[in-house]
Amino acid sequence: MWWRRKRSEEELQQEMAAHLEFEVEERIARGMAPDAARAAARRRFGNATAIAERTREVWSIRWLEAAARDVRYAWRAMARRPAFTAVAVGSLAIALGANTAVFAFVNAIVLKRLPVAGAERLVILRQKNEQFHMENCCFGYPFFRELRRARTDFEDVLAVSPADATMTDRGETEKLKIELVSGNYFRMLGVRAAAGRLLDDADDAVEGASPVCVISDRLWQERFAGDPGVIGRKVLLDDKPVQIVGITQKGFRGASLHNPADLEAPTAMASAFYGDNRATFGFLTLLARLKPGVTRAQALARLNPVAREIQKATGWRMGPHDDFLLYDGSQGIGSGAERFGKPVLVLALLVAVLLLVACANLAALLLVRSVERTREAGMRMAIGASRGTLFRQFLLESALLAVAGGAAGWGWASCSCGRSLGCCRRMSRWPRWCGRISRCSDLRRRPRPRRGCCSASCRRGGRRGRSRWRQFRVPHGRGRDGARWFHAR
Amino acid sequence: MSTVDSLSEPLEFLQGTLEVLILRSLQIGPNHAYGIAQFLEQQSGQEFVVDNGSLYPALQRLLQRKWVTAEWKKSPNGRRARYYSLTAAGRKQVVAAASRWQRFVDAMARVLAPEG
Repeated sequence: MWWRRKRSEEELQQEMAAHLEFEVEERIARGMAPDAARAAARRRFGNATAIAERTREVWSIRWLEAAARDVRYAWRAMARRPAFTAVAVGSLAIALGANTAVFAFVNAIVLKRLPVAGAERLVILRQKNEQFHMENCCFGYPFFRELRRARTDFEDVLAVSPADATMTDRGETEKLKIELVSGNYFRMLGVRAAAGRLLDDADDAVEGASPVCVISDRLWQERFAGDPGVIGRKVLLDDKPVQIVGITQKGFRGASLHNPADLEAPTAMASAFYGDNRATFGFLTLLARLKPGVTRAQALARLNPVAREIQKATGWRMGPHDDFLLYDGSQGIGSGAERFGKPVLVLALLVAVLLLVACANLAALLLVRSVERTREAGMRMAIGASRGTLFRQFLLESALLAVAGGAAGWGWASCSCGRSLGCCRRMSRWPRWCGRISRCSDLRRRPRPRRGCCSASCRRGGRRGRSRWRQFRVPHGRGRDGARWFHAR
Repeated sequence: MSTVDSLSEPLEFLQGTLEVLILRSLQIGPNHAYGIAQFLEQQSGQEFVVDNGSLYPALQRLLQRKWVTAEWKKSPNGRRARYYSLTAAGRKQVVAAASRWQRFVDAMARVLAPEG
């Protein structure tokens, strides 16, 4: 035990100090000068640190031997009662396994942040829509441009629009998640290039003037086998020629933690994907970074009058009570925490209760067992085991049970996610998959999806329809009847 | 002079001998580490020089086997020192070890002795 160890250590130091003094005194008694006597005594005594080191080794070996003996004993005690051990380890494994598995979800969905600089200060900008009882998630390019110029509590604001696209390179096609991004996107997120260059303000300045894009490290490795010659190559993106100018740093997959993208192109290319000039419709999600020390409420109070003024000036029609809203953006846009956070936390609470029940169960079992074992304990004390030894051995048996239960639980958690090695990858895929299901069902549940100005996009059924529908969020199931493709003009 | 030097070079302890010698030194009465070292050097006619790096671990091993106990006491010259003394088990151990070593030494001597 450490406190006994500490006392032994102190005693050893005192003992050696006394020893040295004896040596010194003896030499002085023989007539040496005090200084010379001390030096000679030191030489004779030897290296005190090394002596203490070798003495400590004796203690450690003894401690290890005792620990090994106790583990062996605990192992035998467990093996003697296989049924009890199986029940104890099994119940712990189930509870711990469930907690491990659910924590993996909590971590992936609620706790993780976008791997960019200052993610904790990122906020998503939205706006209420009284008329349709909805929240507007997306804004037009002129609004974004003016908002960046305005005086707000934001360090900077970026605009991003997720979309799906087909990339064609030398006859091979691949479906990709892409993002149309504003020129300041990479600078604001602090992303560096693994090769080539990233997009900047010049790329995004003039509509359609700069048909370039950057790709993720993952796409570069998997699709292009890490070939550096890919920089400068022209590929077809939805049948439009686009030049790859760079590769983003390893691990960066766009501005959404749960909807990773593999390619970024400037918003100036919006017409290639949406058919309309970027100034004419609302398709941009705005992600802002608060200045340090500013709260979301403060920033919002300052933002509202300014932003409404900009909307008026840029011709975006909104009602007089349509306030702006700021949401946590630490997971970027399209966060899983928003949709799945609460259910997952409730699930976590449930399995925590399960663990508590399992622990109480096991405690009762162990209590019964310890009553059974009073005879054994009495016998062992009679033949010379100390109270401390018994305590240590019983504790070690419990610890061994806990470790076995934990290991089994971990194994079970891994298995329940599929292959143990594929576990983490599946975890990260799950929210996306779920998101896709529920987005589709949103579409299906809309009573009038094929009318009005959304008809074209819905008939196409695929990518474009989806990305347009995402422009509105329907809170609490209200106002579905009123849900309708909303155009800037 | 050089021949004298090489003759007076101290003997090294064989494995396990130091512990027996410590037990033997404590038969006379409780003693501290320095006193034990002094005793062994004097009794061996300065043939043994006790290395503290061996002495302290050996004392700890004896403590662990419960052959000796230790307590802090005042020495005759007024300094506090940790005194080791034999336990009952330790006393038995000295007798057994001494006779074993005597047999070992006799056997060594018989083998090494010049013939005739």
